[in-house]
Amino acid sequence: MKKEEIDQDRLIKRFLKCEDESESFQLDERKLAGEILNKKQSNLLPLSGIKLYLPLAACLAVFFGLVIKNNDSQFNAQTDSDIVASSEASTSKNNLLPEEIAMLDEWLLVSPEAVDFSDVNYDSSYELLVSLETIPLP
Amino acid sequence: MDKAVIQMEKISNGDENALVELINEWKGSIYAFFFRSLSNHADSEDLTQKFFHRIYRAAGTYKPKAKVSTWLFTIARNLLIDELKRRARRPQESMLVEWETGSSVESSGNEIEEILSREMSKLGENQRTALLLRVQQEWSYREIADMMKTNEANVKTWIFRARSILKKAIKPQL
Repeated sequence: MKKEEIDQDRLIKRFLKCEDESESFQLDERKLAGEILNKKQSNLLPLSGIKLYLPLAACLAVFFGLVIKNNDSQFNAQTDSDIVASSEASTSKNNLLPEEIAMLDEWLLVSPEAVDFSDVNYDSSYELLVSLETIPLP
Repeated sequence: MDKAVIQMEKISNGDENALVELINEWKGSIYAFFFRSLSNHADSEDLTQKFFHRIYRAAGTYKPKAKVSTWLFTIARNLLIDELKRRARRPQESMLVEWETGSSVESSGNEIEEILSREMSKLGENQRTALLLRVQQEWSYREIADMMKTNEANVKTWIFRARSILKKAIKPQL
C-alpha cells in the first residue's frame, strides 16, 4: 500500500515536472528577442510618424483654411462691386434708347447756350431736366 | 541595485542580450507551466512567446519588492487565464482541435500520462496552478499564497485535492 502511494507520487511528480518536454522544447531565444525588439520598433515608427505629421497637417489645414477664407471674402467683395458696376452701367444704358441718345446729341450740338454740365447735379433728375430745358422753370 | 532590477531596466531599454538571457533562463519553466495547464504543445509554445512579448512591454514596471520569479509567474498566470477565457468564449475552436486530434489532450503514447493530462484539464485553475507552482517551481505554500493572493490554508487545500484526484485516476493502472 505504502509502495503504491510512493509510486503514484513519483509518477505524478515526474508528469508534472515534464522535464523531457521542456528540454525538447525548441525556442531560439535570439530570434525571439530580435522579433520582440523589431516589433517594438515597427510599432514605434507609425507612432513617431503620427507625432511628426499630425501637427504639421494641422498647421497646413489652418493655413490653407485662412487662405481660402481670405480668397472667399475678396471674391465676395469683388463680386459685389462687379454687380454694382454692372447694374449701374446697365441702368445708364437701359434708361435711354439709341434714338433718344442720338436725339440728345443732336440737340446738344444745335443748342445756342452751352450748358455747363459741371455745375449740374446729375444725381437729381429734376436739375438734369431743367439744365436740358425739357421742363420749364417754375 | 538588485540584479533582477538591472536586468529588467536593460530589457525595457531594448538591450537584446539581457532579453536573450531572460528568455534562456525562463523559457523551460514557463513552457512547462503552460504545457501542463493546456496539455497542448502548439498552444503552449505560442503562449510562451506571447509571454516574453508581454514581459518586454512590462519590464519597466517591475518593482524589486516582489521576487522576479513571482512577478514572472503572475504575468504567466494572467496570460493563461486570458487564454482559458478566450477558449471558453469560443468553444467551437477548442472542439475543432479536439475533433482533429481526437482528444482534448495530446497523446503522449503513455497511458498514465494521458490519464493525468485529462485529469489536469478537468481541475480548477486555482488547484492546477497551485499544484504546478509547488511541484515545478518548488515554491513554499506562503509564496504560492502571495502570488495567488490568497492564504496558505486555501493553497494547501487546493494542492491536496488536486493530488488526490490525480492519484485516484491512475490507481487502476498500477
